[in-house]
Amino acid sequence: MKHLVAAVFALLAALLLGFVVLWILHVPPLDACKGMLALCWARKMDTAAKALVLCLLGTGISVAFRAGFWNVGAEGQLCVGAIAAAGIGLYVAPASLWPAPWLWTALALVAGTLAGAFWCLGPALVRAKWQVSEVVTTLMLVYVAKRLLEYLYLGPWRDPQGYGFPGSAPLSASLHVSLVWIAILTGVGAIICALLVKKTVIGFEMSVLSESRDVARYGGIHVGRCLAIVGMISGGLAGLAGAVQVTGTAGRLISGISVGDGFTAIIIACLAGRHPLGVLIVAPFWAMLKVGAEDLEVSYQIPQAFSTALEGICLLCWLTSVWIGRRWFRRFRGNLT
Amino acid sequence: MMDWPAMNMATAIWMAAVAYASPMMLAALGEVISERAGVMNLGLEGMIAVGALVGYGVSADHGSAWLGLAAGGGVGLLLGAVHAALAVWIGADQIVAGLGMSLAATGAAAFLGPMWITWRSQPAFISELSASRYKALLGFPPTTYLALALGLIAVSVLSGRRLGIAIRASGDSPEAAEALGVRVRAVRSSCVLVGGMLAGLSGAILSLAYAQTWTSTMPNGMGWIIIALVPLSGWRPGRVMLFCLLLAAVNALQIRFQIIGVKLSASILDMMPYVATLIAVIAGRIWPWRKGRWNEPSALGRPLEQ
Repeated sequence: MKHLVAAVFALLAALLLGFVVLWILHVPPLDACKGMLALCWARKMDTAAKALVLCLLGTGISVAFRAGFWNVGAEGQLCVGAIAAAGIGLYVAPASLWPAPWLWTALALVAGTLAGAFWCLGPALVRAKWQVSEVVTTLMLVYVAKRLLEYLYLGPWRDPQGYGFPGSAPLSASLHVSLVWIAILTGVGAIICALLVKKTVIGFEMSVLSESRDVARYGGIHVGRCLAIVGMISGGLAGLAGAVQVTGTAGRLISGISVGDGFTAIIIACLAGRHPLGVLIVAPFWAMLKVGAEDLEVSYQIPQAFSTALEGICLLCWLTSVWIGRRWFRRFRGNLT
Repeated sequence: MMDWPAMNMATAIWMAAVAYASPMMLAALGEVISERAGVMNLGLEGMIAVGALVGYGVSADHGSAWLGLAAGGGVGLLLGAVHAALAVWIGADQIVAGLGMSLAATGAAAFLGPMWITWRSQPAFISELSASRYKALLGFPPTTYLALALGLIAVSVLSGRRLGIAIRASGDSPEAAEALGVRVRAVRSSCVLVGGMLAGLSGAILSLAYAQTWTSTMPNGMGWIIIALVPLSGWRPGRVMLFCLLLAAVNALQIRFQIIGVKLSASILDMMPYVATLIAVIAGRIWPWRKGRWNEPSALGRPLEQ
């Protein structure tokens, strides 16, 4: 409950700051807000899809953060997940989609999940074995993955019939997965993660590990195995988010796959108090902000990076509100502090 | 850079590396100083981005490159103050605070930049010197000497008696230092402020001296590479400068490859600095050259407890 108060406080503070910035830039804040909401409503499906992608990413990140594994490279895992899914859909699946299209869609989703999981397994193992900071390794891998994605859709995978536009050929329409299925996947993923975190031995091991590596080892917890599992869950969900974008919304490999959702999800996980189910509540708000930011760009020439700036500011506001909460209610223990 | 016909390719790459290394070194020195005092500054990337934008914009508005550099340093100082307030005084988690700072600042730069800087902006750059001056500086840009001088200052301050001990004590055992009369929070915040200022300055040098242009993706991971290099160098100012030079050489090599048209995609070549950093960071952990002497500030990332 108190986490929720801190999150709401942070969101309000960030919105207020955003209003002030808009007002300074001679944009009427309330009209801008109305325009953003109208755009979100007009593009319900896009907003919903964005919210689901953010949910998947946020769930994975909150699991990782619970174990004290700072996976800040969800963006990169999303990219490789998208690459793997597109590879299956474009080059592995036969043109006739024998025996059934849904089988290949499922395979593409699984491939994306595995690609993301292994992209994150590396940093987890390196952290477990040699204590290399995962903040650095996962972030470096973001840049590598983004370049890889760029290389593929600009180079070998570029659509020959695409009139030179950057992007791969579109996936066959029967491979597309509907939003309902994505929603079910997301919900099931979040519930499984919540159960894992709260009710299983692994979840307990994770919470011990996040407190102290030495205590975990003394308690007989296999640190390497625990980190590997956490890394694979976290990366796998991010990879699934990438695969979902390829098979669900974008339908091909384009630059629009990687627009910083992996970083937005970090804020979502923090605001949700690192609870997988809390993510489901927080994510739609950010999806609306990200979709609505396009209206700001069209109507008021405010670049879309406005929403990125607001994300960072919201995180800083959240840290402050956790601190205020701790001062006011002595028993309030903010996460991550 | 210069375009002397007699210059062969190896020399050209090294010159480009040195030119790119000087902003890297400045930011890295700032990071070493604040990490030695026990505060991680993961907002480096954002501080460099904002420094680059503000330096460029102020120089374009007022026609003075030096004013641009000062403005870049000043805005870095401001962002450093925000980080100090969160990480030192509030005692917030330094990783989250740094990530938030990075997102907020890179976002702010990418969002304000296109509204501030247009194709008509004509800033004054840190101009190329005349040939005779260049000879006097051995052909290196003046910012290189700034970086070297600051490096010397950093070494002497960190290994020094009074201030150096206060900084290192704040990073190693803040509670004991506090008990002995060091004002740990003040020391830590000043180190973060210096680190922020150097990061902003480094951004301004990046846009006004090295690139001589501004793009919304400006530091493009340079800040994160620096954050990776600091532990690799064992938190030593001299070594971190050396590593910066090496990474800058990788970057220069990669750009040179793109210019001469190696049969590899630009995206793949672009990966080189990041892959090199990854390999270096992991290799550095596997084979520490001074076994067991990592010299890591033992209270790095931990706020002062009372």
